Amino acid sequence: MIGIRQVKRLDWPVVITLVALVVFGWPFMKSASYRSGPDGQGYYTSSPQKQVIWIVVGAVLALVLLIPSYRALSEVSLILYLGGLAALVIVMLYGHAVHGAKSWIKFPFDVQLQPSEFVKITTVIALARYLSVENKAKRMGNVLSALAIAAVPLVMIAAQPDLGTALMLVPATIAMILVAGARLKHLGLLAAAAVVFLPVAWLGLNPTQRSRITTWLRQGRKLTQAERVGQFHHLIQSKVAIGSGRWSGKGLGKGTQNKLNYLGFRNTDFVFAVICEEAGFLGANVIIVLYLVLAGAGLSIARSCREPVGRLIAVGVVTLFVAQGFVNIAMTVGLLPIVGVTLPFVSYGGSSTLSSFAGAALLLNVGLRRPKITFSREELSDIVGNYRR
Amino acid sequence: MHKRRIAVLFGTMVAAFLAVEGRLFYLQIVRGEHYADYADRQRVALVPLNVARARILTSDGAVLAEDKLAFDIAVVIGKLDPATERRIRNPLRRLFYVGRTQKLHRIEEASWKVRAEGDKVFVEGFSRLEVEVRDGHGRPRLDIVDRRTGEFLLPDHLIRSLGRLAVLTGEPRDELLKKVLGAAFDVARLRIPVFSAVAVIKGVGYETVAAVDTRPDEFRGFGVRTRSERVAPNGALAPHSVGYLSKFNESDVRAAMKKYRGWPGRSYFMNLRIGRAGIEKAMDDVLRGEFGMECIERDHLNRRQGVLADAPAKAGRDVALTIDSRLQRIVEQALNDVTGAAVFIDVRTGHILAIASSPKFDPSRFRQDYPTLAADPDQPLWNRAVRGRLPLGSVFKIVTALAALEADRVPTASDCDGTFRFGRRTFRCHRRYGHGRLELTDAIKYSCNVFFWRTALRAGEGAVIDMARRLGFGRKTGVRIPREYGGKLPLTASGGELLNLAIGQGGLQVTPLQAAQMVAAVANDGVLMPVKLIGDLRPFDTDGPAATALPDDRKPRDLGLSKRSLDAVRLGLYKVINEYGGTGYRAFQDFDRPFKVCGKTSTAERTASRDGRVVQDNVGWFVGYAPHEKPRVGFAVAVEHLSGSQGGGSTAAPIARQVLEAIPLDLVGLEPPKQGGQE
Repeated sequence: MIGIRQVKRLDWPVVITLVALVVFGWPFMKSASYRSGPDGQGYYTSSPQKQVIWIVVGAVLALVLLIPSYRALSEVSLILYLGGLAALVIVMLYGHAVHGAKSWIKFPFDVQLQPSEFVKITTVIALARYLSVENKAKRMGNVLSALAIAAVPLVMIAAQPDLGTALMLVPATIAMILVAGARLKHLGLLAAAAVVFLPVAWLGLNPTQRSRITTWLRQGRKLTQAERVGQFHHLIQSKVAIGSGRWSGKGLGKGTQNKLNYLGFRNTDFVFAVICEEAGFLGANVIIVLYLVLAGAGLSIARSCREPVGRLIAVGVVTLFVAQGFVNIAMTVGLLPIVGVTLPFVSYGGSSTLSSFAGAALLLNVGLRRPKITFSREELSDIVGNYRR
Repeated sequence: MHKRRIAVLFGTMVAAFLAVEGRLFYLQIVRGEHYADYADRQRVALVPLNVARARILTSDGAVLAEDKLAFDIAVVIGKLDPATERRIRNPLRRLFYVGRTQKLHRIEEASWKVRAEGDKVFVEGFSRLEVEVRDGHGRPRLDIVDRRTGEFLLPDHLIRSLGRLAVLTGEPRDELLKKVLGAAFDVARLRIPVFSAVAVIKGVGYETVAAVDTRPDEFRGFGVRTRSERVAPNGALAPHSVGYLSKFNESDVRAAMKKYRGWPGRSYFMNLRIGRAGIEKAMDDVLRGEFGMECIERDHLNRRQGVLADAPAKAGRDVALTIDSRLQRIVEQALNDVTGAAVFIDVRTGHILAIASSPKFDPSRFRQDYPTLAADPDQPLWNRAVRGRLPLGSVFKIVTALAALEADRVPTASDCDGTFRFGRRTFRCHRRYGHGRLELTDAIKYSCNVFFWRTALRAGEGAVIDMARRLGFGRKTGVRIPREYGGKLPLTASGGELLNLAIGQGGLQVTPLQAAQMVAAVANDGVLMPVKLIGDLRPFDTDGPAATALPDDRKPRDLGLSKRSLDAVRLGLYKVINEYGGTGYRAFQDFDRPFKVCGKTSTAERTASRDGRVVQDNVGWFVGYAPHEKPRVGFAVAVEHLSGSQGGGSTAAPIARQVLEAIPLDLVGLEPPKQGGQE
């Protein structure tokens, strides 16, 4: 059980960073929940309140997930993994589509969850378990097996079609294989294979996804009016929102791109653009710095963890967060094509919030129970005391 | 080893975020101003505020032209279907988007055919249809046709709404559908915004307005739009003076764009109205006022969110004419059956009391009637009173007489045997055997040509031409009616030319207004008052007193005519009507009003070619004033297209009599003027 000692051993930098992200992000998410109406009769959606509930639920879930050791979780990783796949199958059969992606399951009380968000976590645990065996990653065959473990849910999610969420598994998998000790030669081979595979991947994309990519490649060119209000709309409006924020922003709740509905999906996928518009370059940097601190603190947990499973779980979870944060921000500023991924801990969304908190709990779990390499005096006396008892 | 790899991983993350950082710096700091401008441009809209065009009134307050609200039924393509509204951002699919759950109307069942050719949409009869509008890449633009079956799909409710509208207004349903589709095509080609209202039926009655307004569910996508319409509440009174309006044309738009530096834009100016003729044209700026503007904030669907700033529109000022509506009505009635013009002037002030040209037109039906009006050989749009190019004929003898009198070269008495030899030519008087021995007043009474030929020769060309010029011939009167004709007065007239001029023939051309101005000067003791049509400017839409007089740099001119000359001419003009044998005697026989009329008839010869033959196309005149003792009203009546047997005395004079028999006595100074407006 968790006692005062465990609380003291909690990785506070990670906790504080996450709390800061949530606290800094929520007001902008609320501001982004405004919907303008005719004659200035706008209204707020209920998402800010709902998000508070999700955060509370997420925090409780995180506390619950701190109770069993991450090792215990990794023991049942196969069950978790298969459970995740089963959920994806259920979605495939009985799912509910939002914006064309059939990735939701409806629950009573108007609750909808996106199993793919949780599958990301279970896949990371499964991969960590698989790669944690000594020298496993040294052999190309095993690396390919690891890729296959990730590929199954990836393909299933991509088929929903929710390519954005699916692709979030890629950086996490690569990072885990890297840290697991794969040979650079193998990684190079894989990179080469990926390059060769790219055209094939293009064929596998549906027209919407292709237009996202062509739009991204064509940005900055001269556009027709139809294009401006058509496929370029989100990208242009996002860039206008971000750019018009300038140094310090227009002030919370005063973003015109936000309040006048010019920016779409702004309390979920484009919440970063709202932050940029209303808090400016400085506000945007708060988010970026928090993400980098999260990356640093999270990876230092991995670094100091002697046990491969814990280390890999930490690497996988941190990479999930940071990569998703990066992709979300990069797409709003036009550095990457627009894919529908949220900004973890900031965007509105139940599944995204819950899975983010679950991931955070895993990371803290590892931090809490990592076998330390060096011990402080108190810790030593602790261990000795335990031994004596 | 894993520590190094974790470090590499961390380094990768930092590098990725640094890239984002650089991009943010570029967007927010380097290009910040550009994007801030972009954001403002798309959220702020300047909306012009219109104001009704001011009225044109008569001096007694009757309204000749005013703006009235007209109601149109308009369709908003973006509101035809709720699904459309939601999908508005995708131009390729936003039209007539029909969701799967919605009941479809198959146009084949209704047996219509819709054909699109380029910009236009045709609805034609009763077989299969083809609609195809493609964008630049050859992709179909409209989702109104099922591309597999070729069936034409329209929301069921649209067909029902159109049916209801057809019943309410009596417009054929096919025509309405055609207009709706036309609007849809315009939206598809991004010509007009998807939420703009396009008029489908113009000028509907209150019943239709009430139906559409109160039952929006039955007319989804349709609404009532108001529009200003120029109407003449007193019927077609003085249409030539009032003039008419039309939309801005290309050059008006260009001028306005320059004047207002492009704001509020071409499409706004293209819907403005501008005076094209008459006072509407002359006083266009005064009547129109200045549009205001409102700076509004709008959301992504162009919905108004609030007003950031505004500058209210400035109303124009009502223009009150000098016309008396009672007299104007009488004059127009009298002129009804002829081609001609009449002008009545207050001789003391130069105010035009009535000015009419016939045939006339109805300004309220101008748009519908225009093709007929423009094709009519009698040119109903032509304002003969100020633009007619007419020979004056014998009325000019007044001028000749005054010229000779002032030069003291009038023959005391002269014999007329019907012929006059000049050089090797013989001129004939209109009375074959001559008028016998005559002095001036009787020469005017009988309109003896021989007498005035002699008189003119004695007075000399200079005196005659100079007198004509002093009496206002050969130049514009300066009344503010656009495109006034200044007439023609020869600079020199030697020999035979002088003889022609003496009796108002030859190179002389006048307008009825000039003739009236001349006789008014004679009646006003030789003081020529500049004729005026515009009385004053009044505050918009109030019946209050006159606010400002219109500045006028024309001054009354005392012509310096001696009383003796004026008396002699006036006596002649009196005899024309009031003595047996005068050329106007018959027309005014048994004239039963408490005043006597003076005047001069004339039958000016003119030829015209009709079907290749040269025919007589004479102009009959009656020019004079009343009452005899204390002149108040000067007038000129001209009638065109006389046949050979007709003359001024038998055509123009009866018209003048008809008017003078009905003229309100306060206008001739025999009753105190009425206070306040008539209407």
